[in-house]
Parts: sequence; C-alpha cells; structure tokens
Amino acid sequence: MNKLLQILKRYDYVVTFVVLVVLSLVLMSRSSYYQSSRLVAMGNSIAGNWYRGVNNIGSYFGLKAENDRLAAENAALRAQLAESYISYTDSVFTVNDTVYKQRYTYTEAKVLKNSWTQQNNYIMINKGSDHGVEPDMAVISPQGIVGIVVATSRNFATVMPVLHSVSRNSVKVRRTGVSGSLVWDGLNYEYAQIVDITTAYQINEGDTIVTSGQANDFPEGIPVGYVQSAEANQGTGFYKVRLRLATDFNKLDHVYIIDNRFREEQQKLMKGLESL
Amino acid sequence: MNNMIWRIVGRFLLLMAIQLLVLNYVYLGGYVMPMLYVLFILMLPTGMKRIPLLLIAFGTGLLMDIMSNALGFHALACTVVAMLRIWFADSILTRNEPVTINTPSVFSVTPQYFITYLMLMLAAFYLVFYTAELFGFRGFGGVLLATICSTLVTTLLVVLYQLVFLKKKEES
Repeated sequence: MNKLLQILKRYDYVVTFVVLVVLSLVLMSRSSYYQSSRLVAMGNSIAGNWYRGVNNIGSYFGLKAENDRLAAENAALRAQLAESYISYTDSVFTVNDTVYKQRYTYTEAKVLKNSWTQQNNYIMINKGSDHGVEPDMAVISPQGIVGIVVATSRNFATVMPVLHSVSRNSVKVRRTGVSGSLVWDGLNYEYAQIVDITTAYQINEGDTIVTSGQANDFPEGIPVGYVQSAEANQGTGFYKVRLRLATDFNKLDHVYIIDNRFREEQQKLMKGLESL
Repeated sequence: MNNMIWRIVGRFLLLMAIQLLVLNYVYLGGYVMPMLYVLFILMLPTGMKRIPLLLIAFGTGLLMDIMSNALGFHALACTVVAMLRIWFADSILTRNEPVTINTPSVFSVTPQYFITYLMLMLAAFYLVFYTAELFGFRGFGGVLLATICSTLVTTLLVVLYQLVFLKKKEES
C-alpha cells in the first residue's frame, strides 16, 4: 500500500496529464453538441465582450468601404420599392393586404469576430437571445449566404458559416432548378463545393447558385456563388462543382439574421411525418 | 524572482495579443495556421514544477479555445506539448547539466539546440491539433502536410519574435 502511494506520488504529473487530456476530449465532444452546452454560452459571452472591444477599434478603419457596400445595398433595395415601379398595364390591379403574410423577418447585426483561416470557422455577432436570435436561424450578408446560428448567449450569438467542416446547405442552380448540397473542403475561403448534384442537367461555368429554400430556413434565391468548374463523374452520375462564393468572408461586417415565422409550423409537420 | 514572474506575465500578454489581434487574421492558404502563442509554454523556465506547468499549458490552450469557439482542441494540444516538454526539454536544452534556464530562447541556448527543441514541440502540437480537427475530412496526408507547413512557418515566426523582443543580455 505504501509502495503504491509512493508510485502515485512519483507519477502524480502523469495522472494530472491524463485528467487534462480526458477533460479536453470531453470538451471537444461537448462542443459538437454545441447548442446545449452552457459552457459554450459562457465562453460565448467572454469572447463576445473581448471581440466587441477589439471591433470597436477595428471598425473605424473599414468605415468607408463598409459605407459604400451599404449604400450599394440601399440602392438595390430602393429599386425594389413600389415607388420604383410604374403601372405597365391598364387593367385594374388590387393589392389585397391579407393575400400576403410575412414569412421572413430580418434583423441587422454586426460581426464582432470572424475567422476564415481555420477548418472550422465561427462568426460572432452582436445580437443574442435578448434580441430574439435563436439557434438554427439563417444568416446572410448583403452579397449572399453566410451561415446558421448555432449558439446564443444573452447579447451574442455564434454563427457556423459555410466555411465549416460540418456545414451543409441545400442549394440549387438558378437556371435549371437542380439542387445539391453545399460543402466546404477547408482549403480556401473564397471557394466552396457542391456535391450530390445530378448530371442529368448540364451545368455551365458561371452559372449562379442560389439557396433552394428547402432546408435550414434560408429563403429561396439567396445568392450562394458562381460556378467555376463542374466535373461530371460518370460512375456516380453526380457533378463535382467548385464555385466562387458570393460572400466575401474576409470582409464580413454587417449581416442579417433571418427569422422564419413559419418554422415551428413546418417543423411540427415534419415531425408528424417522421412519426408515421 | 518576482521580476521573473512579471516578465512571464508580460510575455503571455504580448504573445496572446499578437496571436489574437494579428495572426488569427492572417490567411496563408489552407495548410498554414501560425500559432505563435504556443511559444509561451515553450519559454517557461526549465526545471519548473510539473503539475503547474501542465495546468498553465491547459489553461493557455483553453483560453485560445474560447477565443476561437471550438472547445478542447488547443487545450489538448497544449497539454501534450507540456508533457513532452517535461520529458524532453531538459535533455535537449540543458544537455542534462544541473542548470536552470529561465528564458529558453535562441540567445540563452545554443541556437541549433533551441531550434531542434522548438521544431519538435511545434510538430507535436500541430500533429495533435490537426489530427483532432482535420483528420475527419482531409485524412492522414492532409494532416501531415498541414503539420509540416505550419511547423516551418511558426518556427520562423518564433525566431523573428525572439530576435525582435528579446535582448541578448536576457540570458539564463
């Protein structure tokens, strides 16, 4: 017994080492469950406050470029206002308010921390559960798709961008409507890949890829990117598409969080389907 | 003694600032991620007590984890580096002589020995880090290539850092 204690004492640092390694592994596996982890929410607010400080300094330097981008977006939106259209026919067109029900609402947020150099990147934004942000909400930039909210604390939220090894988004070719799955190989933040897209319809270089609106609460038609190359694999009947992302993840500043008002209803319906 | 602790704290803050404010925003292709902050663990005095060393390394890694929003990866790699340091630092840095080196660097240790130590530790760090993070989607070849590239770039950065921020007189 004494001898055992002596050995333990001699190798106490090995025991410490093993404990710490196990602890790291537990943390690693916990963070894949992401949403539920309280530790993540805590880390979220520590890192959030830090990056808010850093960002306050950094954002002065990008003010001009960011203003230009926002002005360009304002112009594009203004063009879509009812006032920008003139009546083209003489036939009567009644606008019935109850015909439309608002499906998506947008919340503006600022990017506090953004990474694009890792294989599993995260974005932190300055809106959290206090502002009605919830996990699974979609996030877009003025240029296109960004990612999905994965965790929230009171004032901050983390977003899993397209630039993440487990990110999957349903997208389609705008011209043909054929859909596939958007993935990222972790190599270059400017390019992503599409898998599971059938060779039945030709894909050309330069084709625009947009969100399909079928999953993940992205409205249909948000720009994703532009096809750079498409290789048909005759064996599997699927294309391997490489596309240039519409969003410049290197210069992300303002983003929009999209709330799908019908999400609960849609999910309930899907659940009913699964239990059949 | 007190002076030395403050110097270590100062180095920690400086390395973390460089890492979090500059290096984390540098994109050098998908295979290189400069992790200068690991140097903090490598520059702790030789002959340090083992358990505090392990705990400090784990804490440093955990802080990086929190800042990069994926828990466990840095903590694991840093803990492994600390353990390897316990086993190998003495034999490489002090050649098993009974001396203590307060600030292991290219100045206080023969440069070849220091760089050997540096590269071994960094390679171990990246091997663990990338295996945890990348293996699933780039396989062993990808992990190995990323380890080699990142180790070389970080080694270069460490040497630059020490040439800029350390004075020659800071020897042992």
